[in-house]
Order: sequence, then C-alpha cells, then structure tokens
Amino acid sequence: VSTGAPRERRDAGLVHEALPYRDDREFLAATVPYVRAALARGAPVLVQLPGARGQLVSDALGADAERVQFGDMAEAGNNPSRIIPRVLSPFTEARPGRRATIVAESMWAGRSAAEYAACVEHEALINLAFADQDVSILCPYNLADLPEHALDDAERTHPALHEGNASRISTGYMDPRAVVETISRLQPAAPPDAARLDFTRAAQARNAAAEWGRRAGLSSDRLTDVAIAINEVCGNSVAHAGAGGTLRCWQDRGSLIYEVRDGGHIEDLLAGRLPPPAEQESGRGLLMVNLLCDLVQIKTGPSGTAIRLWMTLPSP
Amino acid sequence: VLAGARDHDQLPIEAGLAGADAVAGGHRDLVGAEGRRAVPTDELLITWEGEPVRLVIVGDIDLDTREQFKQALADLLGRDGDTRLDMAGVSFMDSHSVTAVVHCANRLHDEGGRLVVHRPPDSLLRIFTTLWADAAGRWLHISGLRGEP
Repeated sequence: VSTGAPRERRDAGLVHEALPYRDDREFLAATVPYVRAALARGAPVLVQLPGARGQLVSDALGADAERVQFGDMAEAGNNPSRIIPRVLSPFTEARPGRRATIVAESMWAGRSAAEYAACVEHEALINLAFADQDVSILCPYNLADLPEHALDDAERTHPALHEGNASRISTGYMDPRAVVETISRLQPAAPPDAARLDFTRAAQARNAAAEWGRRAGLSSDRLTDVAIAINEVCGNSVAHAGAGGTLRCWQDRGSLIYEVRDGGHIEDLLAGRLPPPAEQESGRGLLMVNLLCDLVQIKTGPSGTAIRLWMTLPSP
Repeated sequence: VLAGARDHDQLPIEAGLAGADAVAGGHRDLVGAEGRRAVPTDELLITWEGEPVRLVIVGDIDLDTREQFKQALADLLGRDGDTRLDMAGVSFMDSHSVTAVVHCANRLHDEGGRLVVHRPPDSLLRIFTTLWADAAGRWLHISGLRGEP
C-alpha cells in the first residue's frame, strides 16, 4: 500500500512508473503486490514481459493469475515502436471507462544499442500517448543486466519510480520531446559506401529497395515487407516533402538498413504509433512501417527527415 | 495467366538496380486477363466486364494511381449483386488503397452485396492481415491466392 501522494495520483490520469530491480526476488516482491492491488481494485491487468518472465509472475500469483492477461514482450515488442500500437493501446481501448493496469518490460539484455535507444524513445512517448488516459503502467528495469546508464534513462522517461512498494517522484524526468531530440542526435552517419538512389517517385524507391534486399538474401515475404514499408516512407517524401528524396541501403551486424532522407518535417512525435479511426482511409503508412520492420528510427526537424528501417537478415 | 502473374511479381526485382528507373518510369509487359499488353506504371488499366460486375485491373496501385482506383471503387456502390476485382495483373498496393478496398467491401455489404478480391498481390494480403485481420475487415472476401495451383 502506497503513501498518500501516489495514492491520489492513482485515481486519475496516467501513472507511468519505472521499477528498478536486480534479481527475481526483488522483481517478484514488487510486481506481485502491484498486480494483486490492481486486481483488488477490480482493474483489468496486463502483464507483458520478455520470454519466460511472465511465467515467473504467473506462478507467484497462483490462482490470481487467471484474472491477468499475459503476453510475451520479446515477440510483440521486438520492435519497440510497436509496443504502443500493438500491446498497450489495444488493451486500454478494449476496456473503455476502466482504469487498466499494465506491467510492461521493454528492455532486456541482448537488445542492440539501436534497440535500446528505441526503447528509451518508446518509454518517453508513453507519456504523450497516454497523457489524457486513466491507466497505470509499471516498467521493470533489470539493472543487473542493462547498461549502467539504464537507471538514469528510466528517471528521464518516467515521471515516477516504484521503489520499496511505494512511488517516488523521478529526479531526472525530461520532457518527452527533449528525450526524442537527444536520441536522434546520437544517430551515426550512414556509411559513405552505402548503396544510393535519388528518387522522385515511390515506385523507383520500392523497386530498388527490393532489389537490394534480394541481393542481401531477404526472403520473398520480407521483400514484400520492404516494398510496402519503403513505398510508404518514400511516398511521404514525394507527397509531402516536395521533390522526393534519397534512399540509402547498407548492412550492419546482421541487418539490412534502409535510410530515406527528404526535406520534410514530421511534427507529430506519435506518428505511426497510434492507429487512426477505422473509418479514416489514410494515415496508416508509418504504422505499417512500424509493424513490418524489425526496428525503425525517425530523425526529424525543420531541416529535414531521415527514417531508418532495419530488416534482420537470415543467419548465414 | 496464373503463371504469368507470378512472373510479373518478380519483374521489378529481376530488372536489377540499374534498371530500377527504367522499370519505374517506363513501360513493361504485364499479363492481364486478356493477354499481354504494355502498361505504363503510373497508369492503371481498369476494364469493366460482365454482369455481375468484374473489374480487371492491371498496373501498380500507389500514390500515382490511387485516385483512379478509388474512383472505380466509388462507381461500384449502388449496384446490385456481387462484384469481383480481378487483380492478377496488379503487382503492388499500398496501405491507403488496401484500406479503400476494405471500406468499399463494408459499404457493399451494407447495400446487400459482396466484394471479392481475386488473385490479389502479396502486398494486399500482407497489409490486410496486418491491419484488418480483426472484425473491421470481415466483409472483404479473397479468392484465388497466387501461390495455389
């Protein structure tokens, strides 16, 4: 049971807390009472953890586990840009008028540096995506496995931290826009020998991208994904950024990376993370990109936009 | 015709990177329901046939051709009976145009009709199963998958 201040905050709006832990015992000592308290309030509960960690919580909950929805984050949230549209939003939207409680672990050992950065961005964007919604989201951070700066990043992206089964205000919380901007400044330059195509029509770009993918060994299903994703991004370049753009492609650590640069500016930081209403015909392009690619980075500002898409190559 | 659809799928890839511009900007041979014809890729060839209505579509459906395609879908509304979109000659569709097909299917259903998409491109299937696999897409009927004999 938490202290007065956090209890007040539980009653309305978004409560987005990081849960730092170092081992299974600490992890269960925090998550199990958190879930039980939510169940006692009659809240719908989702526990989305990587791999077998959900089983750990399920076993500890015993019979209460039957009232909890479990999901594998390693599968659903492999690309962190998918977690809001495919995990968090569907759960809250299916339960209108009820305060949902979600335990969602997006970071784990084995994530690449680019994936880690995308997770930090995702955690920051939760604060915008659910700003006006009644939902509690607890984000476990395994400090024993994650990089040393993980706790600092958790403080930057969560308004509160969950410690000793109580909530405390984060000391380093940053505006989500500043987090996104900081991360995009860290993007390394494309290698000078990357394949390159200046395009003025989306068909040029998707055909070239598919050819590069075929040469790199992507399967025909993945080439379909490449054509769809590159067409959406480059179609935006042609439609919104004026004269088209530049497509580049290179390989890096088992992935094929595509980059699309144009002169446009995507002002909505949540573009591609929230689906438009079903009856709206347009507005699903970047969502498709997030759903089809293994990792997506959007660097955008008044001077232009660079979008990078990762496609994992089959192991040799 | 069926084997032709498969060859056509592969064409942009086989054309090679050097040919990407030529493929995108020029003409290429496509196999439609009525045999071989050259279609510029920024144009869509839509043929209305028969009663019940069958639309034979040849070309890519993207930013350049989407409005023409959506106009054809709009013209389907208010007609009786089943409608078939024959897409063996379509090699690519984007998410906006697939959404337009789903919406058209829903409207035709409301009118008591049915929309069947025949031999759709892989991109339609992928977008449809990713975005519309739930109840919102239940009135779109798909027949004649290209991988089938």
